[in-house]
Amino acid sequence: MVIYMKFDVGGTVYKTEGAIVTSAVSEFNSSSSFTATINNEGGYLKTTFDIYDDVTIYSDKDVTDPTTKIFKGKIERIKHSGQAQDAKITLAGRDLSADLQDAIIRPEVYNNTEVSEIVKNLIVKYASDVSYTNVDVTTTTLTRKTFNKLSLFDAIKQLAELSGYYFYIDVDKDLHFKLKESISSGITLNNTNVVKSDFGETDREIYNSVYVYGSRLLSAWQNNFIGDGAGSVFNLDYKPHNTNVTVSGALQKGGIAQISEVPSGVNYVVDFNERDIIFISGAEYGNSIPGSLVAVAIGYDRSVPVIQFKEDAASIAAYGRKVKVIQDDSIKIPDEASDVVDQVLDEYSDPRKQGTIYMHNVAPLTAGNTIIVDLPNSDVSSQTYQILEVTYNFTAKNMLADKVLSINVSKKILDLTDTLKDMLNRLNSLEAKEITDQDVVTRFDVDIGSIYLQVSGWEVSSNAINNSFYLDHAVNGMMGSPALGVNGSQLVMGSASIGGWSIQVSG
Amino acid sequence: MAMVTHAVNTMAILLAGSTVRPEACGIGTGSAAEAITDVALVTESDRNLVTTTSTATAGEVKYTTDFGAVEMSGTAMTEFGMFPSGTTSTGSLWNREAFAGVTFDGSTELQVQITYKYIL
Repeated sequence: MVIYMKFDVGGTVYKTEGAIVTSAVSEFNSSSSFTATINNEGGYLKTTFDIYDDVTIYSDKDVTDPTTKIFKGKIERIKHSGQAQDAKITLAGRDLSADLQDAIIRPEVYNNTEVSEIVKNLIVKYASDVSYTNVDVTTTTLTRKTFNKLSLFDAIKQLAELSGYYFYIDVDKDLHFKLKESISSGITLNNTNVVKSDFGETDREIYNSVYVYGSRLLSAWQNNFIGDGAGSVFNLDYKPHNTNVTVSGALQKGGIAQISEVPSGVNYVVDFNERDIIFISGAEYGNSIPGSLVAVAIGYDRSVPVIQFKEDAASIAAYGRKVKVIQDDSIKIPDEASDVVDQVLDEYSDPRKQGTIYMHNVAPLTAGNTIIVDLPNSDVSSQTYQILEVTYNFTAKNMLADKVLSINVSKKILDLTDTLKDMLNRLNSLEAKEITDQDVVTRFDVDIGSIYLQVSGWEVSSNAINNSFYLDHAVNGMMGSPALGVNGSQLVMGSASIGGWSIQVSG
Repeated sequence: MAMVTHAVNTMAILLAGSTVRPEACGIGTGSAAEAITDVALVTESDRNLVTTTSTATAGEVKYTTDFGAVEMSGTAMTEFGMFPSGTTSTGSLWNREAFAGVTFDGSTELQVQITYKYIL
């Protein structure tokens, strides 16, 4: 019972001292990476590897030349260490999903579009060399979805979150976008194939009372009054933006309250916080107070927030109220906020349980697929879990002992890395909040190509005219006896006596 | 053989629709080594229009130019290059080759073949 591994770079197999392949997952996606250490004794491989060389890793149990592909990606880092006999090369890189992580989306907006259609459209626009034959149609149609300067990977991740799907790119560079926990790995883990297991449960990420604050929008409003001839202050329903005030149909000029220098000609000032329009009177500015029974119409914009709030009563009853507040200025309409609230409640209203299982054998497991775990002593009896993480640790010891593979299952307990990633995404969103799909962007693309023009060859050839008649020639141009040609023979008409081309010099 | 700067510049103009292209071969008796800054032969002695132009090979164009025994008589040819049509010492050359030399005493004709090749 031995695990065999084959490490292939650009079609050539290399022997490694150790290799780790990790299918790192978030809650809604998976992507793989590898690290491999190769003996470079005397530097004999010092120039063998280059950045972006293709890497394929195969592994099988009890098969000396394994053919099961468990990783395909590219070298992104090369590190040389040690010296002389101890010299080593460490190679590392990501799988083909790196292409998604490196592509940045320009502002895009989708209205009333089913999620898989958005995914396909984004792939066509920003990662055209990735196929999408395994993008499944979802039951989720988004009222509105905007992307501003986000990586393609994060954009698809957001779509996966909103639809309850997960995604990854397989070894054939095909995007899989599948319903979570819908694809079974076909493997059951129990005491016959598990080396050891650790299971943990936490209330750390329970949220059952969720607020989503989107951006604020301005909408028109109007208050109408009848003047009494004495009152100068008119209180509005909302704090006013962009006021438009008429008195008996005549447009009034406005200013801002509590600014010491009120410009000449101003009829009223605005006290924003008190929601007041204050008409001016006095010797310096004249009397602008509306007269008795005079119609005063005050039009303005009010700031309306996009807010959605929902709770999960059952979860609150079981675990107490756990509040999550999301502020996302990229959310422009209530329906979009509602989609986010629903997703958070679906995902976080119950406690999270996560297990790490070390198992015998080796199999091409895909994070996101499901696996059956039957470990009664850990209070897990034939339950179906989602695979969150798959790690192949190829060391000589592990391979001989058949202990290469470990997996994480169930809902992922968010760690510091997830939190930092979320913070970065929110910072990006904040910085890009003023970017819209209506913006005109000057797109100056620079492409690099080359075409060379060269002289690939040349020949200088001569051709002896012999005794052929040659018009205007000092010797061969005179016909008739006893005239002779340059070669001493009697001149003849026609070219039969010409010698033929002979290359004198060439290059 | 050196393609010269003029060829690069003129290629761009050709793509824009210009009809100025290599149509004649000039020969000369100058001896300086070729350089990409050359705009003319050192001592151009004769120039003839191209006899045949072949594009039989993809990405290549072959120019063949003939010179008669009379016009070549007494010439110690040491350089040649492609030019637009025109009389000697007019226009800018596309390429120039300098070599040890071939002397013509009136008993032979001359043929010059030059092949341009485009490479990606």
